[in-house]
Amino acid sequence: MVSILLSCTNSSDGRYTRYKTFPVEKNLKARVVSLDTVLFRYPYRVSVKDSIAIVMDLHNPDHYLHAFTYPEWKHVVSFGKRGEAPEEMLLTVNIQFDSLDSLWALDANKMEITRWKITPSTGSAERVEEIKLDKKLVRSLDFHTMESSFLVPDYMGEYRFRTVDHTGKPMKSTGVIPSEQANSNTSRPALAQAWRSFMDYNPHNGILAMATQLGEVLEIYNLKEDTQVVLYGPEGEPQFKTSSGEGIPTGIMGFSDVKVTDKYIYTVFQGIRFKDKFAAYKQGKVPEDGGRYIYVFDLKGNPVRKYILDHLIHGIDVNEETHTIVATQVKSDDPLVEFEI
Amino acid sequence: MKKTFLKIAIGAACLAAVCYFSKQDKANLSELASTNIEALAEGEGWINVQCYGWGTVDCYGRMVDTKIEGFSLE
Repeated sequence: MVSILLSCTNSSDGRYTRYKTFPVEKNLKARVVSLDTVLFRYPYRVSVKDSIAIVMDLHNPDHYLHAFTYPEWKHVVSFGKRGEAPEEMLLTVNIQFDSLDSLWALDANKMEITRWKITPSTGSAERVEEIKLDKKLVRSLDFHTMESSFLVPDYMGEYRFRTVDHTGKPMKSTGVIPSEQANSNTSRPALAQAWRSFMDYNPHNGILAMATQLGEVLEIYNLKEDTQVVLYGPEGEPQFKTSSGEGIPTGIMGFSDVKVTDKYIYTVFQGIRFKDKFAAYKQGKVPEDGGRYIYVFDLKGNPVRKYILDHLIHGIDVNEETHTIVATQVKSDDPLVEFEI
Repeated sequence: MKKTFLKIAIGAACLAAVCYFSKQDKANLSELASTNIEALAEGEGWINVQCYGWGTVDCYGRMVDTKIEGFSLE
């Protein structure tokens, strides 16, 4: 208890709560998943539901989405064809896998959320619904389904996230970007780009978590109790400069995924600095791509555990009942790994 | 004698293969480092922001490794 109190304190340095350390640190060794087929280019997200796993490949030249049996990892079907035709996908940036007839996918360039039905017995996937997002939203880079709506981060920087109905129209705007550095001169769209965040929501406990891609800030919203906690890690808020109206990241690659379970919030953290990436490129090397850490917080935002991984990962699926985390690896011959927690 | 010749031939073939794939890797790296630097034009003039490599950072509708200002990684 003392260590939790020490590791998560209200700092005089800023408005929001700071965390520095985790009371428990543990090394995890990965078990490489053996796949029978499918050549991934950039496996980015993974989601497991019962006996099916979906992998989303961010840069696949043919299909964004790939279904496998789980835990056997036998290929079932690849779908979500990349292309410019009406039912093809331009840029799939995230998925949400609720059930076999509800795999949701967000196409950021088409500004469209699609729902897919997967039939393992016939090895098929059918596109059953599409929601065109309103142009007022400009651009959406993540989403989460709610009972009768969707949540998307606000791209224009005026709010933190927006609630969108099933026709794609924004209904409600919530919160503000919890920056301690932004002021009235800061370009809001550039700020929002720098504060791009991944989101996950658990309807059982009403917890929405948002984790910054380009900094170390975790936001926890309890939508049932209407409360909010903002946690700044040692690397702090996303650092950026504004050029041609764009937010140019100058700090770090921060979180790369977030998952809310019934008890905890799991985040994948990278921490590599952009200046180190540039240095690697200049030396003709390929810089690290992925996170070596999984940070675990309780639902109030107290740091609980830090896992140190032997592989660099991007996306995770967490199953606390089986004590398993499935993760994707990019730029690796072993695109999928599992960790026992 | 035949066996010795065979061993030398296999060794030479392996060495050639290693050199070939090593060059391929360097070629891919070079491609990544150079051709993915793109100056993006929009509207009336050049925008001084570039998208670099493959990755997860949003940059003018693409997911790239880094988004930079100017024309070099300085």
